[in-house]
Amino acid sequence: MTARGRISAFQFFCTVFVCRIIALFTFIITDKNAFPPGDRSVIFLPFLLTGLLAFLPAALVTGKKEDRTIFTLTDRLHPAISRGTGLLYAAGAIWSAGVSLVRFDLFMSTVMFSGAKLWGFILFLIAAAVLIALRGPETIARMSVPILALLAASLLYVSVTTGKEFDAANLEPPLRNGILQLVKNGYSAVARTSEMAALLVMAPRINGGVKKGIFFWLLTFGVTVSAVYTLISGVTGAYGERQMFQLYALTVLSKLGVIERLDALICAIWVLCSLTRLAVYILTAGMFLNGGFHVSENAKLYIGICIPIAAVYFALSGSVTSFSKVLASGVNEYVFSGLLIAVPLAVLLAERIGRKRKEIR
Amino acid sequence: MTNEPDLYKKAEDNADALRKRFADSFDFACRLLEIGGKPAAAVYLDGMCDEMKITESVIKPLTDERNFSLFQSREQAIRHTAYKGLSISEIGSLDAAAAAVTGGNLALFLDGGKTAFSFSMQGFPKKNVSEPQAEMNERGSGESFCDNYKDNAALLRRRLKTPALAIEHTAIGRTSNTDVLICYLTDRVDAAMLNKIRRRLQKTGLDTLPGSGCLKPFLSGGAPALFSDTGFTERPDMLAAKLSEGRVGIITDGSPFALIVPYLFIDYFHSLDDYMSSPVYALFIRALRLICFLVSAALPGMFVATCNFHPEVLPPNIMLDIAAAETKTPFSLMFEALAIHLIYEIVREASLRMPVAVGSAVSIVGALVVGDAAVTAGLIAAPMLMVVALTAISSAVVSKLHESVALIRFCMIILGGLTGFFGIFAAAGLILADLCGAGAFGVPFSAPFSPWIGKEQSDAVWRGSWTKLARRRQSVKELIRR
Repeated sequence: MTARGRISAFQFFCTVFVCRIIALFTFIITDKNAFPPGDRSVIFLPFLLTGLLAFLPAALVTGKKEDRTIFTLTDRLHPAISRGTGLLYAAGAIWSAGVSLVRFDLFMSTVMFSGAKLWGFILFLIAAAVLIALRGPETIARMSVPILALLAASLLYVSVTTGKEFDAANLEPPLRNGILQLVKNGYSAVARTSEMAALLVMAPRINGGVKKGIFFWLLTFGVTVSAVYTLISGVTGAYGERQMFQLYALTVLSKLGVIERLDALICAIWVLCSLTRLAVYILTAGMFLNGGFHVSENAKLYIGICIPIAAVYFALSGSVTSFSKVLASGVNEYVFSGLLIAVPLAVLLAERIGRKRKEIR
Repeated sequence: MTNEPDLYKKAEDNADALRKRFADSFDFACRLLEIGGKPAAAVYLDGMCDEMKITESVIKPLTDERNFSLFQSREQAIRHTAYKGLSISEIGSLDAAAAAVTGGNLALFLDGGKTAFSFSMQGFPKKNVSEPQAEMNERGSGESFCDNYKDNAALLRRRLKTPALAIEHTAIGRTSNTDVLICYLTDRVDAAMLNKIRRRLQKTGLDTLPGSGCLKPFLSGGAPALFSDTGFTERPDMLAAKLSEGRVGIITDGSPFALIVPYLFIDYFHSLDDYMSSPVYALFIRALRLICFLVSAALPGMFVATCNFHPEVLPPNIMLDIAAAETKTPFSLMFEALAIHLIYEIVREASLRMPVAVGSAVSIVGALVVGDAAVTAGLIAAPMLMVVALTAISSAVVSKLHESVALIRFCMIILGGLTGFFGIFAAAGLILADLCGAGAFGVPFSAPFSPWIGKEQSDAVWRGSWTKLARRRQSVKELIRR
């Protein structure tokens, strides 16, 4: 059992899983970011390898006993660096939350309610996420576990009901574009996991092996992605390749007994994932601001965080084409690389140099 | 009152001072006596004490001079011999005397005495132990708690014959001074949790305590939640079972419902009958209750959402039948669902508050008007009526959750009608957060599922066999965050 305000490593990685999988489901496939179908079946390998490297700086920041936040190190350097770091990470979380909302909006307004204006629903989601974030990391971590169970059940349902349509002839051999492209694709899949930045501020609140957890999370998630894509390719074949949201295309085909189509119900479960993801971003943005500026994490702060999230959403949610252009510019990869690799490495390096200098004196 | 001494020298002065405090209430009774050759005054509230008992056990023996010959003082005689079988305590002030008298005791003042005496003479009218009204059971005990806290304590003691059962007394309410008992098993309760409960009860700041339910928010603490993490029961056997798990029971005078802290979400789906039947049947019935909870909370909303936004979920022939029925009604599906559920809540509330003799008439009118006439007149479609009926029956299965479920249901209808399944699931996310975020005294309300506690799964949805349950001691201590 965990003390108040603390969560277990299992709960933390369940939360990240739930947050990350909705990015997979609502991922908009364009010409620029599409993986070759054959590579998707083995994506878990580069995902694991690049993921281990990408999360290494964050793991190092948490320290040997995993009792440090990034602010433990920046406070040793200079308070201004702490403030800058807090602001940078909060901005990153706000951007990612906004992008996540746009993805969900585009998914809903494209395939579920074609052409509908969903800003009202999105604002409702933001309000709900604030309420959840206010209840703290413990609540989010606990609610992620049943959501993950529900999600797993829905994926199992889709697999079982569409499995009979699986045709191995639809699958393509991997490495068509070479191994380098596969590694690049693996990294870009890792780069959609910006919520892992929460580790930099939450590590001391997590009970259990965080570093071991990262490995198992990468493995589990990578295998899940590969399995889901293999199923999509095997069942939908060339039809699936032309779909913007491929998993949704698969859920439409699922049918069991008198139940005609459960795609709406399955996609409704994704709302839970979106809500969790949004709550995690709001919470971590609050925690980063608290770490940098020592402001208290209260309703006012969270509402304040929601305003720029809503602004990002309204700015980007115009059309699929313009949003795809933004994504194609690689902004998310830059945000991820900056927040989870460059800044933690720079902070680690600066802290070490500072420590050495003190020792020499 | 501030200038008053603790006790006056003269017994009659003490009686007069008390009379003033009770503002010459009609039921204030004072009998002036002569005990051991000196004046004395017996004060009590008529109706709160047993007059016959006062005469036979106090007045007669006290006024018999022979009882005093063996002792040096009147006080000694009263303390040691004369009134065996009576609960006697000494009181040293008029405040204590007033409190004793309001509790149904007789206060005896002696001329020149340094202390007065309080005799337990309670003889007020009270409800007898009867069958449980809100927690029916097939094979459990037929006794339920009554309004008197002492009787309730005795009912509990009869089921837990161990000195480890501690029953602490406290009084809550600045004006009402309501007797409240805190019950627990000393060898199983978590000391820190118990101290928190004591502190929270002391800090209530209530003026009067109309019923045990008023204590709930003080015990839960934190933000108001949809589900209460403080349970209640009117069954002494249920309370005894919960105390044996290390929980704390709170019995309030004047209320037949004892509070249980902490209470978990899964406890709402447990019944004593589960432990009398086979584990497989217990699993089935508990799963059924969980399904009924989901049906009663979400079915109307899901129905409205399906018809409005996701007709592809149902087979076309069923959907066409529903559509055919709905086209005959003048209202939108969401309005229809809201209206009919509102009518159902009105009928339910009326049948709860009305005299029993009129209650059946309300049910008949409700059934005829809502069930038959409305459909015949084409105001409400038959499929919707079926949904409401199923919802109502399902909510009766988990009646302890009625308050929360009724609110959730209305929200689900509105969200289902406006945004389809997506709104319903967004609301479900909020409800889930509420469930997972609650937890009084460090015990997560959603345990043992989230956080998952393997050891506790043998009595969650699945109920292990008695041979297995007998080997382990279930305790909420296991669930408290360290």
